[in-house]
Amino acid sequence: MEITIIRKQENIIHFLAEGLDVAFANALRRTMLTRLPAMAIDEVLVLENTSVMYDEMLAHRMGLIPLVTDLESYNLPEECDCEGKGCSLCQCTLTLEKQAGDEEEMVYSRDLSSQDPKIVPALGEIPLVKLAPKQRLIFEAYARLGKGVENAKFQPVSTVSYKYVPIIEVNKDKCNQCGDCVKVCPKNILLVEGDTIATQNTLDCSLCEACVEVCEPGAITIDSKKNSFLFKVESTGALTPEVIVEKSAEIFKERIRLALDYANSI
Amino acid sequence: MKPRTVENTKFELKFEIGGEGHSFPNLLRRTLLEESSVEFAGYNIPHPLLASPIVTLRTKRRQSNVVLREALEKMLARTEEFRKKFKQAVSDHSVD
Ligand code: SF4
Ligand code: SF4
Ligand SMILES: [Zn+2]
Repeated sequence: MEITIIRKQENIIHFLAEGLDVAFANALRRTMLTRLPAMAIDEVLVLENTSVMYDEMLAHRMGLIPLVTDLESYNLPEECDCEGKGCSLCQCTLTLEKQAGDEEEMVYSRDLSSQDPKIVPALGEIPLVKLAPKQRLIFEAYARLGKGVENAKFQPVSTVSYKYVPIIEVNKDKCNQCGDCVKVCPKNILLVEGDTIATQNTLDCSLCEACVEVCEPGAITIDSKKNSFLFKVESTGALTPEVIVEKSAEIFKERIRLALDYANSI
Repeated sequence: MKPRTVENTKFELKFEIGGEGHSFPNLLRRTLLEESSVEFAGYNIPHPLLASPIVTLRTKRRQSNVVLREALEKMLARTEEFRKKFKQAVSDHSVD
């Protein structure tokens, strides 16, 4: 198994994993999506809402705000000593109070103030509701850890995908340098170079095979490497992408261990 | 992850894994099939809403529960290898 980081940005990581089975790649992907806990607002106490939006609609929008998650300081409610009733170890309170003046005003996610300075909206500029002059909003929201299997709002990732590693081959003898493939490629992988077609940034190739279709003499072939995967993990901002991948591997190991305990018991 | 035995004889093991979807039993099946003494390995999900796949394993020569244990150990080792190599790759990347 070989792993290479291709690109790393604040919320996105691209990495190449070689020498693993597709079933393993998929199990990891599903773990990141559905088993890794993240914080989200789960209950909202509406004290006043004179806006045009219904309470439940507003609560729904609140639930979808990605919150920066601290996995060390919070417990999953079902694993907490309070037995899921809700305490400071498994719950974080966020409040919002806003009244529009004489002008209409937009309420943004940054207007939420959190009891815990670490648990804050990952993005401040998410619009929640627009208030007309004098309309008022007061509520208390309770965030907790949850998993993607329960509700997609708990997913710490917005995208986890993998694709095969492309192998692009141009047969020099068949190619007539018409340049059609260069024009049609949506990722600008192909370019004319001397009397043949050269490739650049091949990892960006989406394996769409548009180039193969357009090539009259059939000079291009697109294939993919076996057991190599290009992963892309995009975080919602709840956790950093590196933490997402690493923690997911740990969570997956925990599940295998539980199965192993069973296997040892029979 | 709540495993429960459905049937257990020397060369045949059938067990249910409560709370799992396709990804876990699929990987287990693939890993089991790497071993030559496995005659049959597969899983079935009786109802998509129940989330309890039933894994069936049939072996020859070697005891089925031993084969299962080995496959799970292999999975564990591979996941740990992945975690370690990923961590290493991340710190290598930050350096350059
Ligand atoms: S398969 Fe698609 S993306 Fe890849 S080189 Fe051909 S046209 Fe470009
Ligand atoms: S479309 Fe085919 S023949 Fe034309 S330049 Fe591309 S590879 Fe060569
Ligand atoms: Zn608690």
